[in-house]
Amino acid sequence: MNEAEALRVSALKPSRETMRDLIEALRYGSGARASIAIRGAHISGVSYYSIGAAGTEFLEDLAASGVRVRVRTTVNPGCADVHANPYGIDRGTMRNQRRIVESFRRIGAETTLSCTPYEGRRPPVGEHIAWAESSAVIYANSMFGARTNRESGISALAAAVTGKSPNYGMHVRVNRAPDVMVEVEDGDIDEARAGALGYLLGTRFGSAIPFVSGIRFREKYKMKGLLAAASTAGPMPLIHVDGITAEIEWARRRAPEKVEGMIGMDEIEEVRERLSCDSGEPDSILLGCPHLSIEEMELVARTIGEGKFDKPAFLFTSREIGGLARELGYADVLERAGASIVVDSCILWGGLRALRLKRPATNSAKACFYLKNTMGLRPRLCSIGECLRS
Amino acid sequence: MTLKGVVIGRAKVIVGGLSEGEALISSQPITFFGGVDARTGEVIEGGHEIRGERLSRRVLIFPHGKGSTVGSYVLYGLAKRGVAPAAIINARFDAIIASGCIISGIPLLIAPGKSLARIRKGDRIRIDGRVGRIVVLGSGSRKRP
Repeated sequence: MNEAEALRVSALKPSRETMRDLIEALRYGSGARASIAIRGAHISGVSYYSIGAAGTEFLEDLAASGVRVRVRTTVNPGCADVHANPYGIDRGTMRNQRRIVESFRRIGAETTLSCTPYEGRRPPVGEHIAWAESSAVIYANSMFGARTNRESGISALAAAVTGKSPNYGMHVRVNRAPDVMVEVEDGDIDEARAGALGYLLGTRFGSAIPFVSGIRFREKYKMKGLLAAASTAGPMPLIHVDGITAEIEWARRRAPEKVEGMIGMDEIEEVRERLSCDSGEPDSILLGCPHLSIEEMELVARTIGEGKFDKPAFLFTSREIGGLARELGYADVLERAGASIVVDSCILWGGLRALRLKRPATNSAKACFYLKNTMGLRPRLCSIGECLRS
Repeated sequence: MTLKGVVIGRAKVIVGGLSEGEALISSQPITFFGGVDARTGEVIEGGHEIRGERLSRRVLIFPHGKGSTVGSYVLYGLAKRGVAPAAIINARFDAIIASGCIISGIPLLIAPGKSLARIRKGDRIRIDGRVGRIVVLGSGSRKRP
């Protein structure tokens, strides 16, 4: 390394200026004429497994510059509970995960460590935000009518620090109109099939925005499964669902007349089978991708009742919802039945490796996709009821 | 008359700076997350046309990025270890590469593919990222990749 290069390397000190340059470059790249003020940010790339040593160093360097976020900022889950390690996750990983969380705390982010930031504060219709975490983005756009593009971890971080995001895509109302009409034949389905339906929509329509009619369920957790799976399958940022989503009347007036696709139950079941590994006995149950809401904690507690989980069961949620579940008595019921509540982390957590789980049952199509394709496991996709019976 | 260099074109400047290095060209997109060794800067993606090459101090020319957005952080890690490319020239703007170059101070230009066609692997390239000028200072060994 010559002297000039040595200078350049040691001069790496990311600051607010750096992040402003980043927003400006992304504005240029997106073709947006300007950036707009945002009211909130949600940052992904928090797990040490995903960002590694380089990401950890960057976040520490940025925090060391003294920069602070300008809007309410929340962060995605890490790879482990940062306060306890009952599953024997290796010490190096735990130490690095804590460094990451500490850096976010120093820049003024709320270290929520959850993929469901809308459980804390729901952004109102029309509010501009800059969220990473594709399942939260599609949920905020669809269920609340908030406006956010699918940010990356680093672009959401830059938005948090500058309070700005390039004004294009989902921030511009005309881009939120439906592109395709889709009808679901028998829309009374459980959350695992809702996820399979979402995955099918995401695969079939890419970045086009569907207007879906025929859905007969109204439960939010089923919508959460559907939307998370759609955003896993492709770049889809928003789905209008008749009778459910926030901007449905506005969308109806702009919907194309021609119905593009009829989706039957057999097609949904086919997608579920493709995502799932149905042969063999599951060795564990993983619920909470995206993180369980308090309503879902109650649902799982009511479903298990006085019974017992016949295999290791892990319930993933935020520290906040976990605390509420304890206050309301759900946690006692669930733990008495043999389940473990895991906070700060997600289904792709360190415990998978430490406990050598191979065949988890889950009700999340999104989780199934990642457990199978990035972790090489053999997950089964089934409803909560089926998971408990399997 | 001896020409000391050939100006091959002007490019859009995303990250400015003066830089010089040997050209390394890939016609395929590159993912820094998983495709490049984060400690050594060696291309490790199976089947990639520049697999085995080290990016350190090269002027890296490729169409655009691909893969995980965590790739931006990998570029930062390479820069901290002193094994990052001297500069990057892309054919089209890519958010992952741009974000990585900005936080790492790696000069980044966007130039249309056809203006880059005159550059050969191993050519000595100078980037003037103040004005977006790309200069070929001298030809390399003309080795084909």
